[in-house]
Amino acid sequence: MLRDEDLIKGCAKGERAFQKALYERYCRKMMVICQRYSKSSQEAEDALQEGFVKVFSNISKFRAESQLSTWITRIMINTALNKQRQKLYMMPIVDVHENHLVQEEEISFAHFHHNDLLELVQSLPDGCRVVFNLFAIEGYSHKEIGEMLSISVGTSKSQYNRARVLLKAKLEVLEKINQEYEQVIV
Amino acid sequence: MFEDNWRAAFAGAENDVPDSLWSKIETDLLLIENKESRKKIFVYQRLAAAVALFALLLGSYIVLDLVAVDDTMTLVESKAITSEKKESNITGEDNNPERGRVVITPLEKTKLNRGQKAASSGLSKSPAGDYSTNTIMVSHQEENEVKGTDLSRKQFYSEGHVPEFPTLKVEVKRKTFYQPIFPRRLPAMPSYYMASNKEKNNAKEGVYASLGFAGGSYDPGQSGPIVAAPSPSFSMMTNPDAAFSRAMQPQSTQASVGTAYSFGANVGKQVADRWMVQGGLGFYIQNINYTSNYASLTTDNSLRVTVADYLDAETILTVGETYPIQSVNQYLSVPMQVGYKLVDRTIDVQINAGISTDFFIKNALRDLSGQAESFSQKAGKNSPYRSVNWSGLMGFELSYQLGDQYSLSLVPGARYAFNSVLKDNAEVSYNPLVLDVGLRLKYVFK
Repeated sequence: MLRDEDLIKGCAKGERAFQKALYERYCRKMMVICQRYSKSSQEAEDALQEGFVKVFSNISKFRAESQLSTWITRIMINTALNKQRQKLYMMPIVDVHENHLVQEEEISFAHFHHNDLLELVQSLPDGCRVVFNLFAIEGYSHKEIGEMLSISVGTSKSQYNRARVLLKAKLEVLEKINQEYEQVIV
Repeated sequence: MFEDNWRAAFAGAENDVPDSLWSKIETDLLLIENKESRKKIFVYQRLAAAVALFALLLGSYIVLDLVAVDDTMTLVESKAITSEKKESNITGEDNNPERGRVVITPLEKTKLNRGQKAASSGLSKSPAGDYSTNTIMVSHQEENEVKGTDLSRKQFYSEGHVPEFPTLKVEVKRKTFYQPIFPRRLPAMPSYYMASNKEKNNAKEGVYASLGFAGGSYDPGQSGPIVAAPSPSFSMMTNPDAAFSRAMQPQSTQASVGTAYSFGANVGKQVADRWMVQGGLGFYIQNINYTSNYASLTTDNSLRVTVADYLDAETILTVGETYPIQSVNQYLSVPMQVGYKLVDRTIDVQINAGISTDFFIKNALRDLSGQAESFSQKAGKNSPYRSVNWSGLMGFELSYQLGDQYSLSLVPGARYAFNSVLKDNAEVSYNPLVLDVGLRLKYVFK
């Protein structure tokens, strides 16, 4: 199995076999990232395609200051985010005033497959989905998200709260369905 | 925690990707590679054309310059007028023109070696520390030895004999340039062609290094009381206050414009948006040709003393024929410039301004006809040249990106010396102006 260093060298020379090997190593993980930010699988595929072209075009600039997977992930997030930005430009993210207090009732995720969760995330409105991904999964602060999306910190927080409320509600429904399904099975 | 659960749920998650996606990526990559290849070919074509054009212009300029110098040489005629009065010698006692006649001529020459010359003329060693070009070419039509008198200068003047020395008639034909007239056949470019749709290239360049060379014209920028002084090294020998010196003032004619070449390395850094600071090290050569009839190159009027030593009742002096001289100044230049990017696109346009500290290395004089020996003088206490000069720099830099880290620049510019290259005690000043065009290859460190 080729090491990442060998893949980087081969890709930097533009050798197609190394590019394909790198693609095959990371494409499935990156697909999930693109899907999280996208409304549909087609959007995710477009982002993934564009992201890998960027990876191969810029791999000679990779300085190994971070892991290759981290670098590729960052490119994919940026690419997916850029695609969403275009939509967000048309429909700007605004403050959401219906901030319900989220109950801190823990829901176990153990019963859910990641694709079920992915569907929930994809069902979120565009603004909520992006803020939720950046804050909850990528770990950015609201200030950083505000700078990335050119929105205020308050807007980012309210969008996140909205996403959280929506997801919680959807999770509860999903959990009920799972429980009923298990009862039927039993 | 809500966020931790989500993070954990997606950690390491993988989904299948359609097989067709790799084909699409491969197609995109092929398109990019083809585009880059075309871009490279385009750049190399432009580069080759630019280099060829530059070489052609430089070559044409040098050839024209050389031809013009040759023409000047042939057109300048020195006519040593030896009147009856002169031939009857200074004292007027002996009318035999053949006796004791000393003719300084380049064709029939007998070189006095340094020791002889210094001894016979009473010359002290020149400040430049070299007699090598202080060669007086003496021929004897009858006797092959100089039968000079001990007539000293004081004695010469006290007796009130102010001799009429041969004068030199110099005819200078100016270079004639025929300026072609190109009728404008194309209509003015519509303004929308001048607007670029390309996105700005706002990426900071950081630190960069460049190598380059340049060639252009060199105007010595002479000013001062001495007319037709050929070069700083020669100008020092005349003394306009003395009648004798005026009579014997050597004649020369000088090409109005010479050539300048330089090569060097620069290091720079982008310090703010569009602002650059760059410095470097360069080697400058300034070359100019002219004609002269100087027989001596010392800086203390030694020609006058020497001639006086040879003057007696049986001696006739004539000034030798003109001969071509090539003067080359060499400098080590340390420029420091500030640049501002006027246009920050695929082809950048940057305006640069700054100053340069120029360290004088040496001046070399070469008699192209071979009559006189070559002569060079370096910087120092006894040199008429300043060791350090300051020049103002102004120019543009048109850069074309060659990939991510390289760019090629066309650098037209001007360099003007703030101070005279000669020391303050010189009677003439030279503030050279160099107009040149350079090529520079830049590497950006990332």
